[in-house]
Amino acid sequence: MQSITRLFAGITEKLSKSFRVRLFAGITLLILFVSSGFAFLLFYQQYQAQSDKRNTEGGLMAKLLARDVRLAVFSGNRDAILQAASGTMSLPDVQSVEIYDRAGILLGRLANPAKNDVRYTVFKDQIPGLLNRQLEEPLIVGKQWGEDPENSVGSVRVVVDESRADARLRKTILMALLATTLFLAFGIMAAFRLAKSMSRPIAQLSACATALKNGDESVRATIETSDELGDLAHSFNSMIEAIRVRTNDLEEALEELYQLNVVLEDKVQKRTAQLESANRELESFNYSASHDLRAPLTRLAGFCDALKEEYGTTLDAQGIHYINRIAATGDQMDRVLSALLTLYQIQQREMTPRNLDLSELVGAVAASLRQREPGREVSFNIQENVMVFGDMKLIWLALENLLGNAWKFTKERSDATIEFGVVKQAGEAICFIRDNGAGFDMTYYEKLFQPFQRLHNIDEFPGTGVGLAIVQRIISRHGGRIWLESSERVGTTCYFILPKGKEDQGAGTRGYAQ
Amino acid sequence: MKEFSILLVEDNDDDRFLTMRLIRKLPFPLKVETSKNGEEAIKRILGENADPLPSLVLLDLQLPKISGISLLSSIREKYSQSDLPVIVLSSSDNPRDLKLCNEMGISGYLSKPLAPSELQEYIEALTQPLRFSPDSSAGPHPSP
Repeated sequence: MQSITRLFAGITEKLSKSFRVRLFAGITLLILFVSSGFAFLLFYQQYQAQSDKRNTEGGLMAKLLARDVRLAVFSGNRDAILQAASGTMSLPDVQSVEIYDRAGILLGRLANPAKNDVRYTVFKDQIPGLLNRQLEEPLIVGKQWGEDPENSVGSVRVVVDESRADARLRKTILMALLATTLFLAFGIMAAFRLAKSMSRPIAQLSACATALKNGDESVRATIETSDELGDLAHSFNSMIEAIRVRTNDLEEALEELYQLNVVLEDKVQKRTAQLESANRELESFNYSASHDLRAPLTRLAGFCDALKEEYGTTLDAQGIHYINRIAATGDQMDRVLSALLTLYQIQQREMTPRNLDLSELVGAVAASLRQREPGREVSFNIQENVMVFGDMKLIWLALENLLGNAWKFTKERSDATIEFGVVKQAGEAICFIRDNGAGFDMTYYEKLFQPFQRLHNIDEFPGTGVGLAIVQRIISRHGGRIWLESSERVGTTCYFILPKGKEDQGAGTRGYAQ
Repeated sequence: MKEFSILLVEDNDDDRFLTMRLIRKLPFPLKVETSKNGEEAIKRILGENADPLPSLVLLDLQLPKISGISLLSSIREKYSQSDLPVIVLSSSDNPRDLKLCNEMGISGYLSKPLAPSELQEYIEALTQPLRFSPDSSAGPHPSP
């Protein structure tokens, strides 16, 4: 049972997989059905005809014998009985002839030797009596005298050998089977060819599609028929052509894009190299300039000292003043050069960022400012526990500059206040340092971060003019931003964003607390 | 006690003058020699007339031809830091150069303009062991 199920499953699978198998199986089944139907019908008709004929012949034979033997039976003439019987015996296929009297006693019997494996048919009929007035009437085939046994004088029994008829029938069946088989064979062959001829173009189309998928765009379906498959092949070919054209367009566009990219990349590289070399030149110029300019400045300072020490007694107050002015100017230039060097060093420094407690650093810078100028009254307002992630030295330097500015620009106020804290805006923590100092005109904001750009008179608020440039470089090296808001005689607020640090890990900077 | 002698290696005339002026103002007896460049300094320290060696070399790093760094390296090939202390003079030198100097061995670093007090501290620190050493009269000798 299982094996049958498996076989059935196998066949179903084959059928479902191949159009050709399905087509072939369908046509074959159809032919088988039709031809076997025809064979059956043929056989049935043949059999029926033969059987009818036999029955008619047999019945007629018995009736005729009964009539022939009537007188002989009536008269009891045995010879005449046998003569009539032998007449019947001479007919083809008659196996035996028996004649009985009214009481059923066998009056005469003629028989051929019996054969094995042969089908016999027995035909019986009553021998009509003389009283029967309508003697001729029942000669009509099919009407039995036996209906009126009172009038019969006996009966005949004719046994017919059916072997020849059976042989004929067998031959007919054989012929029918042969014809069916031949028909089936031809039919199957034709079905096979048809299935093949229908499935081949489809298989070819499939192969073409596979080749197309694998990138061979030169394939074409070569089906020359003018039927639907030919149309399909034609459509397929035009589709391939369309795909080829489109692919070509795409490839050309890609190639163009690639070329553009290469050119762009080349340009970027060249520009980057130019910028880098310009940057290097600038930096080395910055360094050597600040260094080479510093050496003569120290000499100037040295000679000023020497002049004051050795000739101070012979110079008048004005002379001493001049010497002091020369020395002060030299000092100023020295500070500028130091700032320039710092600017250079910020760019060169390898950063080692870590968590910093900005609040503590602000406190420490404030303490150092107080120490430097103990005479000033400045109140600091510092928000606690502000953590950032940055390089300690650079952040310290930035805070020194920013708080130094706030300290410097509040010098004319008796209620000088410097505030440090954080505001949250759009998820970002923005640090600020706010003072209530002199402030500046926002019109000149653009100049703020450029080195040596000053918005105040140098005698009023001395400085190098490089401080904010330094701060900006430090903040941008940390990936942050800085901007200022100010209003004259009200104060300045400096906002800056630094990478966020983790809270409560400020142990590393505790040492800088006041 | 052996007289403390200084060799000043400085190419710039003004700087040399100013540094000499400062040294002379120091409150102890000093002998000062000068070399105008690396070649002169090498001839003096590493040449035939090396003995007696100076007690201290004041070295400017910005020298023409043979730089201060390579001069220091030549000195350190022959003399250890205790045999011949070197103090580097500089206006504002590259941090890399200073790091190199420290690795080769220097006793200190003075930025120009020189502060007399700083130089005095250095010299006092260097003369202390000499003053109290039992073998002080012998003075430092070049290594074999």
